[in-house]
Amino acid sequence: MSNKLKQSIHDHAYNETEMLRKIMNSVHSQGIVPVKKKPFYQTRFWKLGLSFALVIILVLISVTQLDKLHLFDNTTITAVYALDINPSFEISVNKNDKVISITAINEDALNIEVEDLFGKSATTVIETLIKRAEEAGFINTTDLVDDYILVSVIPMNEKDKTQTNGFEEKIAEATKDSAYLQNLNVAVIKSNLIELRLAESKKVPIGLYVINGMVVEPDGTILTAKEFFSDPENRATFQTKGVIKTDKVDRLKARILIALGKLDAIGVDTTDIKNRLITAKDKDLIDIQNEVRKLLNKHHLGSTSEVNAKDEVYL
Amino acid sequence: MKYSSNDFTAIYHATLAQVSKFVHFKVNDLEDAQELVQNVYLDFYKYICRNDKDIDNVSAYLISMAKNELSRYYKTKSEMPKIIADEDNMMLEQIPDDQNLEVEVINELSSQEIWDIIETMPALDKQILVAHYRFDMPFSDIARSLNMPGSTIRSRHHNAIETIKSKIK
Repeated sequence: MSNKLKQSIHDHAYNETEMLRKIMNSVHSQGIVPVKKKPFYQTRFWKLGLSFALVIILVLISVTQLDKLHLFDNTTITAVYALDINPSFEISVNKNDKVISITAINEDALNIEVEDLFGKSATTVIETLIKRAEEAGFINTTDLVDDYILVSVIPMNEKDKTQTNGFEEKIAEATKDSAYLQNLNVAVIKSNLIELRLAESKKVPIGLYVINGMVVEPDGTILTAKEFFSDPENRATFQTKGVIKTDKVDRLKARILIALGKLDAIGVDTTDIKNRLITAKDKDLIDIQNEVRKLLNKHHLGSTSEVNAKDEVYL
Repeated sequence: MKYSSNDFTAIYHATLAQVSKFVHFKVNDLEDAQELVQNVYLDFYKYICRNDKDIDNVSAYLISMAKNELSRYYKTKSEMPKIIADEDNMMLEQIPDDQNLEVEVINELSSQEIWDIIETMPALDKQILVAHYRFDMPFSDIARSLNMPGSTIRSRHHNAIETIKSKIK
């Protein structure tokens, strides 16, 4: 039926075009946007699955590997460096050779401040502790008696030996850069956990425990590092097991010149010694060192160490 | 998105009459019925925008959406389709279906003038006119859809036409 009535109702009731227009207006006004199909790797299921798999992998790695590698662990002790000046310290380090803890092993060590040294490199801490020991009067780097510092290196287990094996080179490197360390003789000896535990049980610093094993004292007393190394024979014995970074020739000559200055000041003629010193090396230099020390003692200018010291021997 | 905007438009044109007819007899007010149908298609558009799933039977899906929409509508309007008492119209039982002659007279009015008259009619008359002229439904189907006797539908239709004719000067 085609007529106005039908046309009017078509125009005004359920008008297809008008209703569609209104629907699409609502679509746009409500900001309804077709969601594009995501690639499979962006779907929620895939992301959840991937996250779960990664967590599982991380857990497995952390359980099986990370503990061995110490990748994220800076608090695990991988080595102990025992420093005997005297005073004596045990310096515990992590895999990066950063100091985690410092333990005073004897009463002398208790008087030295260590709290500010945590987190620093082992060589820096060792140099600082030596300086503080000198400030406390335990050593004198300017007199004619050689000062020996003993460092015992103890890896916590076999794989940590890679770290401790390089310690001698690190000390040598540090000595190159430090005028202070060049005045000292640093003896490095390798030890192990068994010796460390035995030393602890006897309440003896590990370094002294090891070097005293090289000598037999009649009364069973324990020698300090200084006492041990002041005997040339002990030094010779030590060289078979450890390494001594000895004083440089120029440094020794400088110390001898300082001592000669003291003798000049009281009118002692030191011209001959000075002339010999210019060209002296090896055994001649050691002989001059002993000669000047004796002159100082003769004129009552020697320090306690110099008075008590035995003659140095060229090895 | 499984269906594009063009798919939506095609589905809309293909199903609008069916969905509208379904809603038309369940809501007394024509404006409300039209709005409800629009809401059904708006919800359908949102659905196809956010889902990639295939719809097995789009018509059935739209009808089920319309049912949900009607449930919400009844809750807010507290209204159910009214059933008019039959006895008032029993005397018009003999009125024929074919009223072409009367309708020809109405052609003298403009489309808008006719609609303005229809707008003033009772909801049931309007519902019958729209069903008959918009959805091309015979009176018997309209009667079945409204759960009324066919005579009632015919008499209401006759009255509606007479009302329009009476407005012609």
